[in-house]
Amino acid sequence: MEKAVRLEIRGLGKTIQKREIVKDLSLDLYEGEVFGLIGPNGAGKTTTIKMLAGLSAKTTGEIRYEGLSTDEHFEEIREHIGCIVENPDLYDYLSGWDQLKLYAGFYPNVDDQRIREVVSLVKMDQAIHKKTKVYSLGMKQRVALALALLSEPSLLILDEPTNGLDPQGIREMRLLLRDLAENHGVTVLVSSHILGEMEALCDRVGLIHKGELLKVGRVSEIASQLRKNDVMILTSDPAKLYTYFSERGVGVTRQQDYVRIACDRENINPLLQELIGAGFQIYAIEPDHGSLEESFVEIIGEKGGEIQ
Amino acid sequence: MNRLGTIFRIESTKIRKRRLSLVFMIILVAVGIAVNSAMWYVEKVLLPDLQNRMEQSASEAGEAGDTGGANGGGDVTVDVFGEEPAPEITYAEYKQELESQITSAKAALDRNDPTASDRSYRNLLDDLAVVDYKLEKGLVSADEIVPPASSTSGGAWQQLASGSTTSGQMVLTFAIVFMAIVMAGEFEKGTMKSLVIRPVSRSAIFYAKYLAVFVFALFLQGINYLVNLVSSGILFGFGNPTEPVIIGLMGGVVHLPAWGFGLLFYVVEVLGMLLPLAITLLIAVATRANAGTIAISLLIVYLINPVAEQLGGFMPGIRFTPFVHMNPELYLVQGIRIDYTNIVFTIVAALLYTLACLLSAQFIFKKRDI
Repeated sequence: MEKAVRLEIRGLGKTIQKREIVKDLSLDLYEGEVFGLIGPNGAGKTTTIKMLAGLSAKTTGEIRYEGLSTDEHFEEIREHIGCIVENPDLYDYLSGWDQLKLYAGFYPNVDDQRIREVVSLVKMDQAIHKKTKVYSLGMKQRVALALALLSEPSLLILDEPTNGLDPQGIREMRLLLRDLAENHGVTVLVSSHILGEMEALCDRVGLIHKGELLKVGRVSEIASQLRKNDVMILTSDPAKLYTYFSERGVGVTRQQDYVRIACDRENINPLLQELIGAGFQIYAIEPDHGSLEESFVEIIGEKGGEIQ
Repeated sequence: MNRLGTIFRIESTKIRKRRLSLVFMIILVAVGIAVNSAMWYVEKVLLPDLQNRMEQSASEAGEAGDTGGANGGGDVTVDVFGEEPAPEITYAEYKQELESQITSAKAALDRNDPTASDRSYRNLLDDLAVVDYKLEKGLVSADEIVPPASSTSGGAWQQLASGSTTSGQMVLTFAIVFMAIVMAGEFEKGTMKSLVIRPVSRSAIFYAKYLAVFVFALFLQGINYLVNLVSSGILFGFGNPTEPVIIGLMGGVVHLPAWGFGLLFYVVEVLGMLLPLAITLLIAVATRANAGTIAISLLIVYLINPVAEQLGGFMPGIRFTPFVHMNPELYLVQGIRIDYTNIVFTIVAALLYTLACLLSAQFIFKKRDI
């Protein structure tokens, strides 16, 4: 069954002092999906998220939440949106609980029971009554997530939500976000510059660079597009094999006993036959996809960016 | 302006939960008690002691003179306060004197005499109005001697009515600090983001912050008055709260019991905080810098404001700037201090400038990216 569109973004743009920070960004986010916005620092992720959260004014374009334009219905729409933008900024003179209690005032249906639920969801039961100035970054991130979840939002916008979390915390957050999306129909938009995290968390990702959305697709599709089709050939005489490929104009590199060339999966058999026919001793042919990270760096690198 | 009440409660809670608000309250109480105690010590212990010693040394000198002292110190007079005794005049003579001064002040103004002063002329009119009122109502008789200006029955209620609370400016300073913290401080700390993404308009957030700080200032000023009333009451006695206070204002008179005048002074004094707080809010929204906002605001209140008020006598145009309308309560105790103004002019100007500052700050707060 086709899932309903929760957030429609059309032609979104932001220009600051004649510099286009975000360019003509169009995207649909569906009910119950986790969407990852990936890009290097300065790509326009946070600016995009700020526009979606209503912190920054958009220069062009339109944002619609379940058909309602944010230009006219933002206050109403905000009841259904939970956000963390940039850092988990909390009032350091209040406890985590005080903070949740304070903001619960904005939502008529949020009572102490709901506050306890979100505290438990983010696993902060033990420290929630301590002043936030003693919290670690990870604990602040958890309380910020609890604040975002307070009103049972149907759209969760999280800017770099795993900042400061330890591996266990990252795993817990991933499981929580997946659960919210799969079992509660929540649409989750996360941004990150760490590809590995997105691979495990997101249903779809969008690659953003210099304000432009370069690619959008399922993680597996993007991964296969990004992945290289290189093979590593282990042979008795790599120098001779290197020369053999070079003379025929094939792009080739050497790595110790291996020679690497680009070769699609279906061409591996003919290649093997050719090399054996030419008298080479072939011990192994191994695929070498490289990491998503490396491929992404290459794409971004071609466009003059950087990624961490 | 949806949910202004909700966001106002939230902002007030944030102010209440800050340790700084408790610190400010403690400082106000401590300073109020300390200043009144110091005044009591000076008035009841130091000065009588000094007077005794002076009298003693005078009598010793007198004795020495009687026994043949060479320096002729026998006629030494002691004047501890360094004041000439006021000439004794009746109300009738005082009224005559005022009328004559008014006539000459008016004549000087009419011929554009550079030494003529509008504020002196109108203060004289106010003084005359008070004398006329007292005579008309039979509160004094024409041949009664006018008591010295400083003479009152004393007591805490009278002190409150005379506007001599010790920490009025301190309350304004504290309120300015809080106004900077709740606006510029939230930008600096980043917490403004998590506030603005809530289902409430930016305008409601803006006005809730202003109102929450203003209400906190009302509360602090209330503490200030209470501490002064109680501590000076205990030390000097409370006096009679219904003793009449009569002042001249805008050519007429205000006749209130001491407690009522104290209340009027409180209301006008807190009204006077609206403008400096609105200016602080505008600076906070424009700069988004906490320390800078506090520094600039205090500079305006403690430097530009008094300098502008001093210039009020020489530059009539200065009355159209906001800088001379931050202390409307002083009209009640010091009369008119700036030419061509009165308490209503100052309150209206302060409210108009407050509105202008708030609307500009609201516009910036709504439009700028966070």
